[in-house]
Amino acid sequence: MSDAGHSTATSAPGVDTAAGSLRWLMAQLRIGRARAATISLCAIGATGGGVLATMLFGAVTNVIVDGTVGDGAVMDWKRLWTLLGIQLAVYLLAASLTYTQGQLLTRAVQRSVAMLRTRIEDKIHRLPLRYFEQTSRGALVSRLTAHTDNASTVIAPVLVTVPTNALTLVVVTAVLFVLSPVLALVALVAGPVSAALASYISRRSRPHQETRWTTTAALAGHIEETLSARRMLQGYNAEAVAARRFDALNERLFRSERSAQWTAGTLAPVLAAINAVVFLILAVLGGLMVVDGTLSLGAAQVAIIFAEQLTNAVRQLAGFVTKIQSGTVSASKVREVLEAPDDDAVQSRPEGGGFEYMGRHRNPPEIVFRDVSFAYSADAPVLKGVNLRLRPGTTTAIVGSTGAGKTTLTNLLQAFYRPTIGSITIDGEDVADLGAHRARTGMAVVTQEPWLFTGTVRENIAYGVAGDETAVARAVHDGHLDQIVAALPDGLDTVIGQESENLSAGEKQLVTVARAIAASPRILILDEATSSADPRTELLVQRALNRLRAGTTTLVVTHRMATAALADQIVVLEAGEIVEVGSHDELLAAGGVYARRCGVV
Amino acid sequence: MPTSRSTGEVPERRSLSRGEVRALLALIGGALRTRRGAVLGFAVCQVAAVLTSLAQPALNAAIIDDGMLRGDTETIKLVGLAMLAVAVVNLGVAVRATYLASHISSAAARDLRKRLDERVAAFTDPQVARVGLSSLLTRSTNDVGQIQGFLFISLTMVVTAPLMLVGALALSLAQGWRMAPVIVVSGGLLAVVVAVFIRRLMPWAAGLQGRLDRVNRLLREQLRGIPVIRTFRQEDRERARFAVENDELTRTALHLGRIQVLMLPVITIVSNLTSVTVSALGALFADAGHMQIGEITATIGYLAQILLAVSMLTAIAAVLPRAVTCAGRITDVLDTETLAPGDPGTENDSRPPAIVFDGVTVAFPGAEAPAVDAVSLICEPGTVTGLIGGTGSGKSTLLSTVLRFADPSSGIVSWDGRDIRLLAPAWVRERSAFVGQGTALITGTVADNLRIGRPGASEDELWAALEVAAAADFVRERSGGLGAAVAQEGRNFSGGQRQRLALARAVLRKPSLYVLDDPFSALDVDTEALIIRRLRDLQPKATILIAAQRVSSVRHADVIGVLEDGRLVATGDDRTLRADNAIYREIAYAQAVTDV
Repeated sequence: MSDAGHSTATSAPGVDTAAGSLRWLMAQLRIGRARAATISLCAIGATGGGVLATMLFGAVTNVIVDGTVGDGAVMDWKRLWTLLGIQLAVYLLAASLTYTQGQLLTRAVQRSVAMLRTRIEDKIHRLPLRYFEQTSRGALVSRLTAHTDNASTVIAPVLVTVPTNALTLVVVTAVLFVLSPVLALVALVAGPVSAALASYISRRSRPHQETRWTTTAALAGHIEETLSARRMLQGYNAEAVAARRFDALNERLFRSERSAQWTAGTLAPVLAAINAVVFLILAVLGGLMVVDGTLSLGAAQVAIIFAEQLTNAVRQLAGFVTKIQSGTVSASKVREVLEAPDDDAVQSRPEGGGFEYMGRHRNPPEIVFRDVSFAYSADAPVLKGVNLRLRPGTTTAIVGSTGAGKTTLTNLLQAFYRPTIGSITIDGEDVADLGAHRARTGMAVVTQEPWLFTGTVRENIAYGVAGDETAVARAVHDGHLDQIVAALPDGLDTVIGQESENLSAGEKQLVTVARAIAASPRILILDEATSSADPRTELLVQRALNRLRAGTTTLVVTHRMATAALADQIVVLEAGEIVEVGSHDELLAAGGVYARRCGVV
Repeated sequence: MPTSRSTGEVPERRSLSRGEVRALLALIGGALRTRRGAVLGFAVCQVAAVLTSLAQPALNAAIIDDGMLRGDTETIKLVGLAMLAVAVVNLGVAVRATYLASHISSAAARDLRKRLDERVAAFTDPQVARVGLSSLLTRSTNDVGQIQGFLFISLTMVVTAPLMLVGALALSLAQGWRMAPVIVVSGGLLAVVVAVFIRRLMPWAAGLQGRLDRVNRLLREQLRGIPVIRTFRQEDRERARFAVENDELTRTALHLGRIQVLMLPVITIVSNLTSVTVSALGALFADAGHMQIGEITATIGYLAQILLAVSMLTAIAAVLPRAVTCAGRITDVLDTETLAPGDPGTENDSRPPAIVFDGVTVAFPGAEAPAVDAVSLICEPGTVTGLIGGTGSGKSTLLSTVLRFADPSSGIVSWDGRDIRLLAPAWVRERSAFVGQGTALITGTVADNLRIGRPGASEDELWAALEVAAAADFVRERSGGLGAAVAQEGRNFSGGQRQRLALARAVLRKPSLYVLDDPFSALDVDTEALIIRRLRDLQPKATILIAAQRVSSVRHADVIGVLEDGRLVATGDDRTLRADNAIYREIAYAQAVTDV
């Protein structure tokens, strides 16, 4: 899964070094020195046991040879049974060590990954809104899931593969040299050769893998487009047009898949061939040396087994770097997210003057914007000296051209950002003093893009008010959802979600409006909340929202006159400044910007 | 069969249903049958590869018994040469076998993708809704990939393993038949152990995938809903939701891991115990003169190969659950009955039809209320009929019956008196032009998109159609003009431009019937009126059905029907409806703005 790489200036320094990321990751995973050491020791013990058992095998072979070959040979039964008994014990011990190590490792890895996931998800709720606007969502999700899992694949190599293979390498080489320097040299040559071939093969297969991924993406894009333009294509009997394109992409994908899989698949047979050649060289050489008398038969057999183990160990160690490479890259991406600075608007100052709000049954507040100016970055001011009073229980509509700053006003009220100059007060309390959490008491929002989570319609509507059935039923009715819900397969219990095809865009928006209605908020923010619904439905819904009036202070962003006309006051915003304020009739009479837009002047 | 809309809890262990396993076998079987030659060649190569691998311990035994123990260096060298030859042959056939396996599995994937594409191209909206758009996409790409990977692994490992198992057993018996009981018992025990483990493993592996998908989906949702979550102050609730999913995922992964971790030591212990037993028995037999050293070593060598074969079989545990699930999902799509478009027909009958809706009801399965409820409406030939209504009023659904995107549950839609269900969909579509609310443009050039309406249209004809649709100006301004690039789904054009291009395509077709579903929604009132006028001037005799949310789109119609909650509540023309119908008036008022 590739990243668009849109990270911002929030990335931590020194992330680039792989070693640094590795160290950071091991620290994050909190495996604990004792546990890590135990895992490594168990693995080493098991490996050591394996080496020992092999040598015992050689000794047993020699005992059998001595006992059966040649005239007057007598089997040393006592020695044989002793050796076999020790071998049995060693095998059992190694197996239990492997089991212990495996259990500890699995538990350590899974718990660490789970904890890492929790930390990242928690971070989602702490990061400033800016961060999400600048990072592609797909990239973030892949960091949270795929990268986290991938980073955890580093653990096994570090704790197990490296120590065991290093041990194997050292011990086996030593033993081989003791047995026979000639055979040892042959075996030592094989290792690097097979490692070199492995890397050569993987390099050859990489371009095919690349083509495969890009063609897959292209094909997926084509299928996505064809699916979404399905009706049009059917309507014009044009299915063949899409089919032709599909066939071309499909064929290309077939070829690249075949090549990628084949070139990568040649690795195993090639390695097997190298092993076979080494095997036969050692068998022949060893055999000649046994005939000469310079080597015992048992030693010759053991040498062969060890040679294969040596080759494997070298190859695994060589592959270690690439294996942890992708893991450390993932680790650094995860680190970027975790080390991004928290939203300072989230830090609330509990001792700073606010008293506890009760929630739903408090009176609607008076909201005042005092000389509010705001700029996302120094050179692009969005709001300039906005002065606005929202009286308790009233509805204020904000109109103005795109980019005038309407959504910014609502973002400031929701405490996603802090005004650069000026203040916003809710019932006299500065939002900055209250802190984001308190400022949002009894607040509800309906965004332009409807947000639904995977759950039943009922759950989505009851988001702000858990377990109140009457509120949900009332909201369904007031939100004009009765017919829509009735046409769903399971009514209110139908499972919907963001990608749910059961509801059209307009219907999804109505569900989010019902959610706001059900919450009986004291502060309601509607940001182009019904723009996807038809004008008439929007009108009906706005009328329903009117019924909340007395208990709610509402801020509505809209570009439809019919909605604005229902508000108690209309604020016209142009280039970050308020140019007109008044009721619908007052503004029409004044004959200014608003009146012109309504086509009256 | 679980669909993308499965409600309620995801079980932590999902046993693989018989139907899904059968589906997988059917898919694989079909793939192999179509490529008999390659499969045969592959089988031959694999058998040769296995035989050459199995030869190694036997040759080693020969070196020991006939060479070393007799002091015969000539034999040693000869056998060494034989081993070299065997290794070379092994390399050759193994590489060839890998190529064939890649070819077979990749070709099978290609064919499967094609079959899916053909099937899905004919899907109706309810059928797409049942499966889900993104699930369809996943099934056509990722799921097929899983099947392909499974087929490749099956061919290279799962076929090799039994061959190796049987071969190793046979050859080890040939080395020393006295060892037979030990080998057979050990081999049997290993097979049983592996089978038991795999059976225990698979449900958990299947469950794991489901859990991962849920966590992913939850995170994506949370990311999308940050402003809403924070405003409603539900961060803790979201954290709790995540904690539940995370814990379930971890539990499943732990359980799976524990089983996997147990498997290897158990298998190794069984194998090691056997080799100790073989050594012990070998010593006894050798002492009694029944067996030679080389034979003992070879037997142990074959034991190693049996172990290797068995561990290959465990690879299947990793891929089988997902492959089975994917096979089920793919077969679910392939088995969906679709309406074949049929024959477009060649008669050049361009008489504009009368479209009559007679008591048409369209109800979707499981819904409490129908989307269209007993609508009766006559659209005379050569007239313009407008359908007006709000979100959820049923006008789009009603229009979709004319082109057979949906068929009525009861009632009849007729084309010039003939029941439309008796006409081939392609025939109807050949004689109509459809402009819908969904995606109208595909990747290519402007000319490519327009020519979907009439393949082979000349450039002059294209420009003429663009003029009618008030689209000629902006197309001329684009670099490339008619050859200007259109990005995926036409994203490089504004909403209004996309609509006008779709209209131009319809006009180019010069159909007898226009079926237009809110085609002017992104255009201002003036442009809308202009296009309508030009269209009627161009084809005054065509029958036009137009559905809209704005009064301005249907004001000019000869007959206007007002739809509410799926029912036709009033018909008339603009004047009479303004006077008599409150809903029509309300819609007119609500529309009385463009932008404030």
